[in-house]
Amino acid sequence: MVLDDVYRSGEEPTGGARAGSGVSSPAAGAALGAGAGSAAGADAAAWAQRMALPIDRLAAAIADAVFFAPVATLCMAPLRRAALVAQLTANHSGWTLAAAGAFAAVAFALIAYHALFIAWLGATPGKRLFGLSVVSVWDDRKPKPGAALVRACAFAAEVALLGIPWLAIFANDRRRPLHDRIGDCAVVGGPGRGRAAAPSHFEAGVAAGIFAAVLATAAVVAASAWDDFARDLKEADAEARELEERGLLCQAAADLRAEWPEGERPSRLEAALALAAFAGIEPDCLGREADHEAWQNYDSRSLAYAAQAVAHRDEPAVAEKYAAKACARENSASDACLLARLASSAFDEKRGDMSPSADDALLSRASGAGGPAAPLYVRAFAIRRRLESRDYASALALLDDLPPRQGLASLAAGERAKALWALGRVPEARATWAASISSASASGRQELAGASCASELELGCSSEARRACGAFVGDIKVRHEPIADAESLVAFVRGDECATGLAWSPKPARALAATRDGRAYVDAVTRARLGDASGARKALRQLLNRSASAAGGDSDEALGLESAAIYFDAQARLAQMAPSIAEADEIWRDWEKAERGDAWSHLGRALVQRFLELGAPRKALSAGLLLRGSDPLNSALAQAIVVAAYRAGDPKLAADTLRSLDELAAPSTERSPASLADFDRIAQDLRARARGPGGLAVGKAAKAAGGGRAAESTTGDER
Amino acid sequence: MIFPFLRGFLGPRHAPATWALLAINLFVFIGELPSYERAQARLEALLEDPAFMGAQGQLFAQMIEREPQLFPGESLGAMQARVKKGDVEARSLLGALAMRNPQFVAHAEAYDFGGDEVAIASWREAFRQVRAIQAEHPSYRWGLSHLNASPQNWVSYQFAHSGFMHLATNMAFLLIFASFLEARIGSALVVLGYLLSGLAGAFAFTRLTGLTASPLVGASASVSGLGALTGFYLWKEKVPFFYLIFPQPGYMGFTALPAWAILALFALPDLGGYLASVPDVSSVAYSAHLGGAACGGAMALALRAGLLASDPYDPEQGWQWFEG
Repeated sequence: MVLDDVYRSGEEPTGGARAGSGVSSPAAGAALGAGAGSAAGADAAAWAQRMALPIDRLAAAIADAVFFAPVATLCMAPLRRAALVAQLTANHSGWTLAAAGAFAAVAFALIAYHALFIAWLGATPGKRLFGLSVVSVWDDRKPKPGAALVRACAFAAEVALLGIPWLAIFANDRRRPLHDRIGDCAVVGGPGRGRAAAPSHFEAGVAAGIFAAVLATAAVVAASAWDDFARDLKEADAEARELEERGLLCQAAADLRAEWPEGERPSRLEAALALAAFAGIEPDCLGREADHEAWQNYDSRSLAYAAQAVAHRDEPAVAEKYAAKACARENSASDACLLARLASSAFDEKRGDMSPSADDALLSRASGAGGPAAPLYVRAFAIRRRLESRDYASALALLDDLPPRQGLASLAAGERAKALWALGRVPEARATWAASISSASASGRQELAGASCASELELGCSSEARRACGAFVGDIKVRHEPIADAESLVAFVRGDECATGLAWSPKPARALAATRDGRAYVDAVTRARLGDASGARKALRQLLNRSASAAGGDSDEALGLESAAIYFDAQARLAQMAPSIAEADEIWRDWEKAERGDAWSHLGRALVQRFLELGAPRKALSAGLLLRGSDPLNSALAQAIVVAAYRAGDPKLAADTLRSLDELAAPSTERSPASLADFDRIAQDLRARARGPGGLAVGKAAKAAGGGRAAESTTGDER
Repeated sequence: MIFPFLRGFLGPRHAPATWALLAINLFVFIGELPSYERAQARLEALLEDPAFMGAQGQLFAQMIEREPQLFPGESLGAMQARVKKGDVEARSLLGALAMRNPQFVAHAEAYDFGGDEVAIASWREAFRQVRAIQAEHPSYRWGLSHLNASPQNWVSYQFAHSGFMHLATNMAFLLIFASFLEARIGSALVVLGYLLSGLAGAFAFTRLTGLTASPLVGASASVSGLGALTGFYLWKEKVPFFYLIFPQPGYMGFTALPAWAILALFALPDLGGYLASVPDVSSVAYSAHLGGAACGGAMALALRAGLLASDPYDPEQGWQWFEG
């Protein structure tokens, strides 16, 4: 049995190892004897006759790695400790230094391990295990210390190159990798182990091929890894510095706070809350500010609890507990409690007192009715709640009262323009956008321009829309950042289509789309624009089917379609191309049931137009009236309703809608969709009728009844 | 892969004391397995909650700030400063470290913390549950921790393991070293070596690392003591090591190496691990391994100096219980 042999051999090393110990071994002695009396060429032949098998060398290298590992662990230990301490104390440069030190320590130990063992024994422990030894090519003896050191240094450099140059043992004719040749050495096998011949052309060729492939791959991997590493390092440093500067909390809040004169400043948390109300900071950031305040500052904790309730709105049970705390500490009429009640409707309901609802209380507090002026965050949340409940007039009044602060300016201006737009005060909204875009920061500018472009497109692709969208699209093209989220992509594509018109090219959109679905969407739109109706419809259907089947899963590819934007825009494009009323009707049935939103309205407008074009004014009218419920002051929609009602034989509704349209400050004079081409003729006809006795009566009757669909749908503009 | 093989696993007939030690370890493991799994699952569910860990990090930071004398060492103070600045990462890290810190665990329940009262209330509830689970968790009952440091824990920790792999590796090396030694120096010295190395490991742990709130368990210190005993006792004597580079003839098998290679293979990584560890933060008990190894080395020197008499176990005679 092998083990018994080994065990009995006791003091003596095994056969293989014995042969490796250099000059004293009979084989080496014989070789030396042969070499001594002959020319140098024969000398070289002596080691060349005993070249070690590559597989033996591989095994020896693995064994050496096993033996070296404990040594390396020990050498690195103090530096690993230093790195850990640096990590704990967030000392980035200290970490880099310690990591570099650990690397250098291991390199030093590796060189020492190889140089010492080879100079001393003529073989590393791993080589001895497989009977290999290192000899000098000049005299076939164990290498001189200097040669051993040079060889070890070259070997360490090869290890640093992931050991790739080492593969030369398969390709080099004497099976000597770089470190052997630099040290004028060769690795020979002991007696009882196989001898390697020079590699055949085939082996050398395969090895060279693998060598080249591995080298190329490694070069690419190393280059990208280095790039990543350098960037990570740079980013980590920048991030660390940034975190250091702003104390890890929201910089925007600190900046906003600094705009007040000393002594009147709102607290940092108040500033963060005001920004959060306008979505000016990430929810996460508000959470950190609230958390920090709740833990560190015991004086203002009622507001901190209210902010925690706002930050935990996704977890109603937690939000409720925080709201209870916020209201327990001060009396229930405090601003903090008011905010907490807004954040946790569950808590608000359980309070069960008869005081006005949180919304009403917030509004009256914000408009300064009775008592001192409301703090900034109360006003900000009041504005947000007003906008959410479509009470644009109150929102606008509150916005006008906001103190002029740089940190809030572009956010407030954006909300203001949207409110004005929703109230039908189109020129004022445009002026607000124009003024705020010119003074906003880069990211604020893009957001404002995007909002203005999207709003203008609601009225069709007018010259105003082309101007607004041109600015927005141009900005994105200049920045050239990939667009991953579907909503921005759709806004970009639609804005680009309108701004560039007939010159529209899908190239920028396709290059900017970051997801597969995004690119598929751009391709489908491209087909539609090129007039390939059937191809476009097929592509859009595929896109919609994928989104339907992916809705249940959570694959990354489905992310692009999670947003309603692509879905509704794809449907809208299908609707625009629908060849028959039946097909448009199918889309309409889906649309009727779908969740309301901006993208939903976009599809609705497309349906109204298509129904008009297909000669189905009754369907166009019912779709238009449904849309009007959520968007009462859209002039293009009102025009469509006038046309649809007139054609559907309901002149009373048409006349009422026309009147409400005339009351708008500046109805659009452009008739971009072809379906509205005869709007002016119809309007003339209706006005002529209204001047006649019968027509007036019709109008009066509708008003007197106080009802009727037209009257109902126009209540929004009676301010 | 290379490890000392010595004489392999000698059977119970040749090494009865070794197998008795192994049997005790096995019985403890199997007997406590159901309650271990149950307690571990409940514990992990509680500790995985980021809200719990975040709050605990804040509380620990607060305690460090208020009672600096209880928490010497640079790392905890530095992390506390990071938490105070609002560093979320440092907060959850500190929360995890708090679970192992004896001062925190001992004082936290009755401590008058200030801060986010909602978070503190949920933390208190969860922490109470964690403590209740720990009270019946086998690792905490058998192991040596700051709160379970009675004399019997100094012994019982040597027979408890935290998982199958932990048990399997310790037992494999126990069989290799102890069964070899039993045939060489006798049963009594093997058992003595196991227990003394365990005690020395625990002692080194309390001195070098300090007892933590999470328990020290495992036969590692005892086994590394027996390994060191073998290495130091035989020193230059060549003993078989098993190696496997490729699973084919010529690249796997046995080779004879001097016995001190055992020390190089086992004690060096432990020393490296110990030197690389930071008090309050690192979790593997390298200092216990080193303490066990030192004890084994001392016993080997005593044997070589003739202070201890070896009495190889002879399967033909068995234990000579009643001979003077």
